[in-house]
Amino acid sequence: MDIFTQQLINGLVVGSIYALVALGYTMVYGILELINFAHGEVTMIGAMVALSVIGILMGTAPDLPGLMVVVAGLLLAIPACMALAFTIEKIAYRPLRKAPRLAPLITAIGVSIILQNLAMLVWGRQYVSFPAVLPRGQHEILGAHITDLQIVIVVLSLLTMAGLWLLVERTRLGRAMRATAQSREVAELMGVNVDRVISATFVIGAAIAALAGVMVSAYYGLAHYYMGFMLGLKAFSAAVLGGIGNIAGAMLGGLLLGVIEALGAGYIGDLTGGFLGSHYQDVFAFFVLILVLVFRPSGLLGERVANRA
Amino acid sequence: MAAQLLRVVGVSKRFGGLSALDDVSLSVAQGEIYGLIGPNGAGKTTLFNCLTGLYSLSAGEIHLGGAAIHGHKPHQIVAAGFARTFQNIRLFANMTVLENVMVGRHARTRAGVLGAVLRCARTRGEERAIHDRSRELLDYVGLKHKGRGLACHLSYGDQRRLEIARALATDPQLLALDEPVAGMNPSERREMGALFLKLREGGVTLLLIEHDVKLVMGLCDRVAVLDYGRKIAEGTPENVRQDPAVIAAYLGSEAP
Amino acid sequence: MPTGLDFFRERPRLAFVLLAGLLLLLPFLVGGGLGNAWVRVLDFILLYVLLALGLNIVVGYAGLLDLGYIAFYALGAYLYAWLASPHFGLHLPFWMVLPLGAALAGLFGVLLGAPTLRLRGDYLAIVTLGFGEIIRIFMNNLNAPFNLTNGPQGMNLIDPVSVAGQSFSSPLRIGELVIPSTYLYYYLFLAMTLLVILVAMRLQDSRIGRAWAALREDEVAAAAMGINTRNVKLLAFAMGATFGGLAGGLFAAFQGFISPESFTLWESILVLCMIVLGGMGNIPGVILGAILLTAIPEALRYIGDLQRAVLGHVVVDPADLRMLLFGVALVAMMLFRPAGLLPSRQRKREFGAQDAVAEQEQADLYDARA
Repeated sequence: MDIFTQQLINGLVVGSIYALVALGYTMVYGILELINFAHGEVTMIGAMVALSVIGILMGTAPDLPGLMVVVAGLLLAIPACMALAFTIEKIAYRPLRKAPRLAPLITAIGVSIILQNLAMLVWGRQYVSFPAVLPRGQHEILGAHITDLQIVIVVLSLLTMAGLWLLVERTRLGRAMRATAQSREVAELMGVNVDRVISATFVIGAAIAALAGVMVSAYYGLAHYYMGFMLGLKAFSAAVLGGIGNIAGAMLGGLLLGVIEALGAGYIGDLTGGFLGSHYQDVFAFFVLILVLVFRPSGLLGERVANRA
Repeated sequence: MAAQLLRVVGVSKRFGGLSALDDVSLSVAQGEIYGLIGPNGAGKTTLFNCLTGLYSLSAGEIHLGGAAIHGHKPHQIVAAGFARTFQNIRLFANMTVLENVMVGRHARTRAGVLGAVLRCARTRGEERAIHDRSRELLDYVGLKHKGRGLACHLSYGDQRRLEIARALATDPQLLALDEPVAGMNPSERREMGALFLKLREGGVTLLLIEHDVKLVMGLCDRVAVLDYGRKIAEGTPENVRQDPAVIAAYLGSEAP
Repeated sequence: MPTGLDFFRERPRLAFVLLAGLLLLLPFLVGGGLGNAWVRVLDFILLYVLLALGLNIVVGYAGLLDLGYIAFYALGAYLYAWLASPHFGLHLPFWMVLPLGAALAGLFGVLLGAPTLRLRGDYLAIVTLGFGEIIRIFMNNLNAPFNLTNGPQGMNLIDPVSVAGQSFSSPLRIGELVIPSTYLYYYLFLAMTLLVILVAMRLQDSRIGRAWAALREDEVAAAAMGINTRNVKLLAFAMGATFGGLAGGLFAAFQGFISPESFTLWESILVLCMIVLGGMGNIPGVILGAILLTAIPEALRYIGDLQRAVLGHVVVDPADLRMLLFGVALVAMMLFRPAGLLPSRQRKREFGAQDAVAEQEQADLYDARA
């Protein structure tokens, strides 16, 4: 088996999930210049809701095909996350729009803690496992394995990104979002309902996050109340890598970070003569984040955000 | 003519493709009041930001009292004796009026962490000196009894005065004032004009951006006119007033 | 209330004597009234006061949001464990190890600060968070190939503080009087806390303190007033980290055991909560915040007993409620009382509306410099 190709494939799969979560960070940052710290937790809630629905369906209607059960879970997780994000924005962020920057960031951390601990109360401290209901075919490409699930994840991610791209570039709402990101005041003067645009941004980001949450729990076969934290940080790093505020950047950054992480974890042992092992995987995202912020704070595709934060 | 204090040679500043300053040269003599005028967007504030190290230069040189200061950090330029105020008043709004001036003494004092923690005789002496000098400066600009209030509670005119006091606390040879009388009424303007003359008496050279042409003409020894990032005229106020290029610039861009 | 405070304000000497007496007798009062477990809580309160005062220098004075602060606490603790435990067979005395730990943490503060200085506000927060996590991940994994940290199991049998042959881990006997270990640590921590309070107060009211305040208020204007913003920021990082390292060393000696578990991001956030709750930049506020957030979770344990008494079994584990309540407190504070319970004079205003134009101009200046 070719390790390089295998890690590359694994990296792209995980990276496309990072990209989806990163979109939520980058859209909100683009419009509000707020790091929505709670976005990772929204992703986690998506996974948890879907798993609950899947569990209930499997208990009540065991004859349903697995794929249908998962889709049903996803279809309920999406509106749940959308409603959650809508509420968070309205209660916790909106009153602070004119406050100094530290205030909404601290609130966002607070919301993140609340969601995590609510999830712990509802779903418990244990890992919730993702039932083995999805088809598990496996293919070989260039000496590496790729599963059906991996293919589905990548394809769905790409479709979602394409859909978002169309939404932002081709629709009235997208135009209003872009205008608001340029200047909230001017957009308001031009008749854009800025509050609605901001709500919509949070809600769209949350819908994508729900999808990502279901994917990541299906991929690793489990979900946990704490999973949103690391996932969120990595996705944020991906958004910064691509250039925060830039939608294409988030996609590129996510894929790149996934690949960097997978290859890094695969080769760090060889690179350091066995001193550091693959359990340092989580360090890569932070190093990438720090390096990007220090040397190219505007990210790969970003324009003008240097030192804006 | 007295010795040159500030010499600006061929300074250019580009933002991306946009040229904000193009080959600007000028020199300010020791002890004069030098005015910088020009229509909105002519590059006056940009030039200030270049001079005081907030912007890096795209090209050119800046010398203060014979020493190059281009490429230096803002705090180094202050230490060299060049202080400034801001067009959109930038006080430390939530510190007291007196504390604002005391911050200005930073570059001229030494006490570090150890001194602060141990409060040795030298630090206490220095603190007292900072305090006394700051009070003196408040008195000097006419804010004698307002030291204890928060800076943000001052009236607009007093905030401008405080900015000047704060800048003076750095012991500048050259003080650059960015529209110091903007938004003031005529009597306040006259008072500020008197303050500038008093400053010059005290040995401070002034570099002044101003829109109020009357004030500039009455006060300045020499004037330079910027337009579209270029210096289009320089000389005594009378000469500049009659310069066809200046008349064109003002008539061409603004209503007469 | 104000009348009571005024009474003491007019009689500072009386207030001082009463406060000093109260602080000296506190462990006996608490130990006698609530039991010795609460004296341990007192010890932890003091440790957190130390930590919060340190972070307050970075966040409250200089306005730099540091979410990786606990890493310095960890460094102080691990250095103590390396130099005073069977792990390497070193048993240096605490008065040597504590300053070393503080210095190491301070050094790391500078190392961490240096690359992040160009960043502002929320970016800085995320980068410091990243640094904190990196340090924790290394502590978790540096047990192989060379066993530096003993990995997730952590290090134990750390030497207690010992003065003149009296180990603080065993009770001190003076004739009939027996003073338990937790009481001894209380007095040690109290002394350290008072020292740190003094240092923090003097720093605040000094040339350096004014420079920090100026930096927090308006970085561009601070630079234009001759402040070397880079050095002053580094100094804030270093000072805060030093206090953190000191607290870490004390923690290691007190517990006798440390593991990466104690140094998670949530601990950083907990300390941040203390500052936010009490009032950023205000020393009494920060102390109040540390006391409340350390004591409340302990008091929450009674909710478990209450549930058992009323419902017959524990429905919600009070430990699970702790973080939830912190989250709610953070959000509620920001929404309803952003300057904290005991706001500093500055912050009271600062968390009001801010001039958006000035902020935009500041941003533009940064862009132009980049």
